[in-house]
Amino acid sequence: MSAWRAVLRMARRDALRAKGRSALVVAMIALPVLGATGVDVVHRSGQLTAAERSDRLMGRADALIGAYDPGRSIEQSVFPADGVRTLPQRQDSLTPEQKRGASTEPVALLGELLPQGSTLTPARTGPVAAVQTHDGLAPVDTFEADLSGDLWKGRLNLVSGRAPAAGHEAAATKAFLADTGLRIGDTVTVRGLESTPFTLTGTVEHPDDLNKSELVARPGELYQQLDAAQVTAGLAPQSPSAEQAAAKKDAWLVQLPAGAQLGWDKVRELNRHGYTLAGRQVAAHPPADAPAVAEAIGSEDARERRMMTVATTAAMALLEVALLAGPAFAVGARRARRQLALLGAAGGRPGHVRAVVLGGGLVLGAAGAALGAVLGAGLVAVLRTRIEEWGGSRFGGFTLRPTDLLAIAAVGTVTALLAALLPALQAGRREVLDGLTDRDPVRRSARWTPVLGVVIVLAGVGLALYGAVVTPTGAMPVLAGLTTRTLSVLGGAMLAELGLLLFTPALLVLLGRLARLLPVGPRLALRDTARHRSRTGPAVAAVLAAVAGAVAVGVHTAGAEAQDRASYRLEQPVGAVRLTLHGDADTMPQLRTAIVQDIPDLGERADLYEAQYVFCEGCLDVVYAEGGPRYGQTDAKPVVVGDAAALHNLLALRDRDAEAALLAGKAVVTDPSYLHDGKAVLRMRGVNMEPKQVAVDAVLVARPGAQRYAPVVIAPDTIRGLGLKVEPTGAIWLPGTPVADKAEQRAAATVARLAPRSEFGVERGFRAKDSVVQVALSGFAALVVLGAAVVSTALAAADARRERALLSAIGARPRTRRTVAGLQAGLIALLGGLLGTVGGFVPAYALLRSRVSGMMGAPAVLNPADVPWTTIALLALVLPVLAGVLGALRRDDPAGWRG
Amino acid sequence: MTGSSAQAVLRLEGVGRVHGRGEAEVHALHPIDLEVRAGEFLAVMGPSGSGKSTLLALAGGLDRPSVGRVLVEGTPLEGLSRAKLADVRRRSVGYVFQSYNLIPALTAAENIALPRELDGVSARTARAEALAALEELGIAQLADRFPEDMSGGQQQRVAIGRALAGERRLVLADEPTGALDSATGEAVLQVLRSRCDAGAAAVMVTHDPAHAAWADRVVFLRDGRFLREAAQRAGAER
Repeated sequence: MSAWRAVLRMARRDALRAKGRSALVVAMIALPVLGATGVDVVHRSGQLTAAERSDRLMGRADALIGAYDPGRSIEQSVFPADGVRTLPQRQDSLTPEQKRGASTEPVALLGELLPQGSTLTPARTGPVAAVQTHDGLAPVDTFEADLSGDLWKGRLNLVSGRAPAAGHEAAATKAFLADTGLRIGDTVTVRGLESTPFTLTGTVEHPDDLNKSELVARPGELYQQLDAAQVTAGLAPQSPSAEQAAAKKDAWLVQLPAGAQLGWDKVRELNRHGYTLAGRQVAAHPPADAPAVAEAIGSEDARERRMMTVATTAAMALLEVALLAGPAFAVGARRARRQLALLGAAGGRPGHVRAVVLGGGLVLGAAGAALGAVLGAGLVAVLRTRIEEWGGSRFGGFTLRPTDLLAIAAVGTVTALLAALLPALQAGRREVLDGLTDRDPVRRSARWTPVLGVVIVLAGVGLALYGAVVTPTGAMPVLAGLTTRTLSVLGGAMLAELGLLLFTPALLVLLGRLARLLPVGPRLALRDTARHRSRTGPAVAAVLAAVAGAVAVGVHTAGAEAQDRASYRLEQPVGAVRLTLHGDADTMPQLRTAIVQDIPDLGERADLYEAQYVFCEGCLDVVYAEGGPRYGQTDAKPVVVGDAAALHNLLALRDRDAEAALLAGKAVVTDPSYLHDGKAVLRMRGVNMEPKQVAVDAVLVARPGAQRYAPVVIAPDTIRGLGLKVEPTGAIWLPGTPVADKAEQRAAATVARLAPRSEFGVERGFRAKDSVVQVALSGFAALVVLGAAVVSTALAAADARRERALLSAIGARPRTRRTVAGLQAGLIALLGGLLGTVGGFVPAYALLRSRVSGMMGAPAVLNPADVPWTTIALLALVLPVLAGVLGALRRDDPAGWRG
Repeated sequence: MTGSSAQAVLRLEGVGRVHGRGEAEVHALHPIDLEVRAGEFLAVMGPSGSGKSTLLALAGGLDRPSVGRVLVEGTPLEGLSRAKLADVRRRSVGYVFQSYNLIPALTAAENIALPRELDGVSARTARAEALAALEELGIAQLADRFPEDMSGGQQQRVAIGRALAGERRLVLADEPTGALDSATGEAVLQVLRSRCDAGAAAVMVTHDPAHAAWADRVVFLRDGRFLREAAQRAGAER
């Protein structure tokens, strides 16, 4: 123990003496720790306690009741948002609660079920309305609440201005003000209520949804008026599904009389009537038999893939930091070789020497980790409001979890220890006498090193691919919450990178052999770089790690985009606006009118239909068109039924011959495999019946993009002529100009209100995600590479200063010295760049292979055309030149030879 | 002080050192026999390249002989691992070099205490011993100074203190006064002499006959061979 105290004392004092180098390492460790700490504090602060969650739901009230499905028995989690399940029921044997729930008016029912003296306050969310802005109409949510009291505090907070107190006053969220360009004091006009504009008196926020764009009026001033206006405009919901959806929004805040409580039994009772109940008492004391939080289907696989990407990125980043900090420790150990030799002469064992260097890692790692943790937590505290706004919700509180912070700091410290490991091993191997006499003997590298490197690289690649392709998804975690699949990918990626490092000595030896062919400057540079591997190796490793990280980011980003693009399937021509009905056919006329109001200049409308085969009274089947063989079966897709306008809007086809053929009763075929001897074959089949086929004359048009969603189009009259039924399925428009996002949102809100089961969308084509984030990420990666190249080559150059000073002493011109310095820096960066490029492909490829599983149509093998070659060339070739130029420009201390 | 009754602290039996192989072979030290007893102060003289420093490195286990064997306090060094050789240096042998003797990151007291702390002695005990050594060397006031705040002579005295920390009885000094002015050098040699008079053994490499005069015995080396040996009464030529 005493020995370790002594060596740690030396390490600590050394770290304090070499302030510049120490600051560099501390910064390298502190930065990732800062990031991880920040993420952890944000994550923990965002996790709400049961009491905080209750506040967000019910303000100062005691409970929140929702009309989930009156008349049907349900089962809920403690908080209904975590999961509600409708229980199976038979129509012929309804329970008394179900009958009562279905037949009793909600407020009356709740008055009977809740303790006497309970107060109910409506908490229903209103319809989406359109408000007039400087740029036109903007869709906003609506809400009615009396903000003059405390009841809503916690759920809906007044943050500036005053609560609406008089008629036609309203408050608005920040997002509302930003979307509309309005300010407090302005008046806002809601479509349909133009004669009664609202004056904005204050800003409110939902702590749980800061980005909500909402107008909040006093109770009784908005919903009824909006409903009446929509009736007037012919836009009141008429379909049963729309009425059901509207009814489900009914909710009430409950204030209990003094001493009353709502326990789990009351929750179960309300559930039996079809109502949900979120209550403070239940939240504070959750029952053991409450259903667990529901998991979304398919989320396990997606979460594992996300975890794999995060874990691999984190592990690679840690390895990168360890390798980037390595040269600083290597240079430190070389500078201190006399001191370490003195330690050996005084009786220090090689283990003590290693401990001094590792102690440096421990001291600097701990300092960096502590600094990073403090700064990370401090930054979150200082930027709390801004972070909450970015995240879209307020923290419950500022939560620092000591065990988390200690774990993050420990990882930072271990990273620094890893960085110091190789220099420590080298220092421990150095002979005491060499250190005392300042000799730096060149050691032969073992012949087995490159062979071992090949084996490790191959093992790494194999392991990563095994993890990505072979291991099953959704397995149980085996280590630190990570599955075998994730561990295989990240372990393989790290192994491959470490294996490549073992190539470095062999490559340096090979390069050194070329030296005799070169003029004196390059010869010196090459030979010096090749001989001093303990100086060159860590610098190459640092550049390798940085380039590998950047290449991995670049290749993964580009590959993922290519996969997304390849797997993207157009559902209609780019720019087309489509409405698809699912059982709300009666609302079609209302929807057509509403959509045209919300999106002006839509142009010609094409109505789309489905061909149906009625094989008995009330029995029908969709009519399919028969295609060619696919995966051992005959391909078949529903026939698209429409007139010439459907050709215009669905196929983006304006072809007189095709239109004439359609009108003449022929089918228009876009997929050649659906053409059988000049005819389209329609297939129909009733239950337990032999399939029937009908052949229709057809014409082929070249529309490859439409093959997937409309291989065969037939006119409605032709279908009717075949004795089949035609049923409306929606409409499609192909406007001449792109539809604005706000107009699309407006129309989508209208469709959701009028026909909740319908689909509405604008085909935007494939759009790459978050290009700004990707550009920023690539830019950051390039900066790290350049920084790593400059810092590590500078550290190596600083170590070689005496040799260059000696050159100067024997009369070498400054240009020669600069050439040597520049070429050495360039060579280190080139080697690191080339090996790093190889190293970066491994995790990127493995993650892409894993990502592609389950994606239809995406390439399983990375297409060479999708690799960002320009970026890679920039990293592997341009960067070395830049590092070389910077190395050549560096000024040397003329007295450097004195050491 | 070199009486035959005293125990041999250092013994070299046919010890030689060859660098390189074949045509590049260089005999840094031809096989020699040498014995240094407790209380004896031996000076090694010779021109540059004569093998003086090689002799010192071999004696302390910093280098391994090509032939022969080295015994320190009766322990043969051949076949010992690097760690075991370090143990021998920590417990039996102390080195003093021409300059840069002290570990810059440690104070004078910590430098002296280092071998003891590395040996597992508690920091408090090791410091107490170091303070006592500094007191004995007459430089107690330097205890908490770092090497950069000390003169060359002070540093060398601290180095001698470290070389004899704990139970160590053999000091190997390579030109310990080479970087000092003559007065300071004399003071350092006086310390070395007095430690030998107290029972330690010392082997000192020097170019300066005046410094060699502090020794009990002087051996002369040239081209890696013993040229001659002169016994002298300690301090006779001072």
